[in-house]
Amino acid sequence: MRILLADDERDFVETLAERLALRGHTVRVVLDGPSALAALEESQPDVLVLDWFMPGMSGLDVLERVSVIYPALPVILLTGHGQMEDGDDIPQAQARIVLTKPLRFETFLEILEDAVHGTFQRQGGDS
Amino acid sequence: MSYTCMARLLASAVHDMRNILAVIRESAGLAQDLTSLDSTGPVQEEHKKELASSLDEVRRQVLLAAQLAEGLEFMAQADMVEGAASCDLARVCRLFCRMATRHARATQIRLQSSEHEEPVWAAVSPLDVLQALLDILDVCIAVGGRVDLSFTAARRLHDEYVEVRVSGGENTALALSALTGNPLQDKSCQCLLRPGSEAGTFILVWRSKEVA
Repeated sequence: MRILLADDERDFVETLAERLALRGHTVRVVLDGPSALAALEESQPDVLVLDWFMPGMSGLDVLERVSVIYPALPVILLTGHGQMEDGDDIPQAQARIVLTKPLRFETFLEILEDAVHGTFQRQGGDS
Repeated sequence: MSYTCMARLLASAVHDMRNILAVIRESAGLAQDLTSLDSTGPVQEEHKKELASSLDEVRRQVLLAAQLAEGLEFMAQADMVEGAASCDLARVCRLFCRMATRHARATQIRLQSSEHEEPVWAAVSPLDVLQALLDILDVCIAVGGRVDLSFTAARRLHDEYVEVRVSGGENTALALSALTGNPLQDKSCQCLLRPGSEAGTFILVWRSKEVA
């Protein structure tokens, strides 16, 4: 699976990427919104994992652009804000799930699989 | 100090705590992954290094969490310190920066405080200090863009104050301009923010303790 991780929390996202890579996934890490859009232009992943609150261009800003340019790309939003986990104000066509940090890794893997295989059915946070 | 101010600092701290827990969880998970791998030779050595690095990360994050816990404890005791007539400005600056880091970072502002300075006791309520620091941060947030903001408690003769330094970042000039003219006048009560002797600095002082 090709996964693009966009999160300004370097310690978190690089460790998460390493764990995913150990399981055979191809992971690319970017630390801000503009870099996420640039990475998508270079090569499209199977799934995009976006942190909601990134400085400057937020995950939601990126998502709005992605919804227009790559409407079929599954997107998972991550947040450290518990209040956001119900997914309000998110373009439902793409981000059908919002995960609250800290993540339960096994559940995260399942959701990634669901996203790529088009079986995104779960709503709301899981952590 | 208003409840809004307290709520904002708590929200920032909780957000930060979730990120710390996320890093700890993934670092511990990675350590577990690495120990379960059947590797030999150079690969095994590499995995050992990664394992040590993961455990170091856990230790580092626990320290950050402990600092946040200190700030949360401080807020939890707010009803006891609300009427307090004095506080250690250095500690309040440090706790503020720790608790507001997440909030500031979301708006591209980097907060700093001196970590190893001596206590600077001042005749001011700690909650009034927190309110003033948050108001200063808000002024910089309103300007927008990247700004580095540092708070250092200091004493000159018998007067205690907080030195506010604006440095670095693309919007430094705008932030400096916004902070000029005592913008806290209608916000934080009983305090005054005036230009310092060094360029890019301001002196935050409480009216009963103005620096000469």
